[in-house]
Amino acid sequence: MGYRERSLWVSLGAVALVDTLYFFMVLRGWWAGAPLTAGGLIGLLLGIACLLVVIELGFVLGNARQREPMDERDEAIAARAARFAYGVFAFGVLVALLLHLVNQRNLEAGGEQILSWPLFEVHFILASLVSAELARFAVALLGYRR
Amino acid sequence: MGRAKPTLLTNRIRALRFAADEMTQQVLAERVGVTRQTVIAIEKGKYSPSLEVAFKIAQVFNTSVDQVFQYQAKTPLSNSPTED
Repeated sequence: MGYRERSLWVSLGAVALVDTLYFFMVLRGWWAGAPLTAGGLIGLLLGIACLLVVIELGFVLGNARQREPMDERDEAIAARAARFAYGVFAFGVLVALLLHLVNQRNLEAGGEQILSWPLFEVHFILASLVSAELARFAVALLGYRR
Repeated sequence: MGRAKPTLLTNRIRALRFAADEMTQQVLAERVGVTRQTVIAIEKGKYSPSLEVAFKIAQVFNTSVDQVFQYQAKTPLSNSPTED
């Protein structure tokens, strides 16, 4: 397995682990009826960003000798993965927009929101971004494997 | 995602490497300026290189591109000019 593949596996694992932790904390707050405050969310976001940087940096420093520049095949694989990830993210943003509009219409009609969790739409977009990143790593790994 | 389309390019890189004092994939990769994984993918016919890389590979073996790569068309390509 080449350097780039190993790097993708580490990134995939790190993003999956760290963001699972983040969404677990957020969902736990929602379900318990005590959602995280804005300050708590900012702290959590900074915490997961630091954790990601530490994991990625640890891999880069630990594999400095094996590091190699991208060649044309690496770039082609990365471009294909990025196109796929863009589609995943765009889909998530469109669904978030649709949810927002349906909620707005329900409120205007005197009804209730479908999901009234605070910052639900923002978290939905964030989840789309994380899904897009995971899809990018997975598609790139498939590109190296086939 | 579907399976990758098999490339229509075949090549003689492996044979040429062995004829060139059993040159390793790593050495070929370094001389061409790609990674060893890319050389492996090209050799196995899983990746079609750019023209630039194809010419560089041919140059390493001191031969022409058509001695390294062959195109296997599924249907014969027509040579006749098209009528407008």
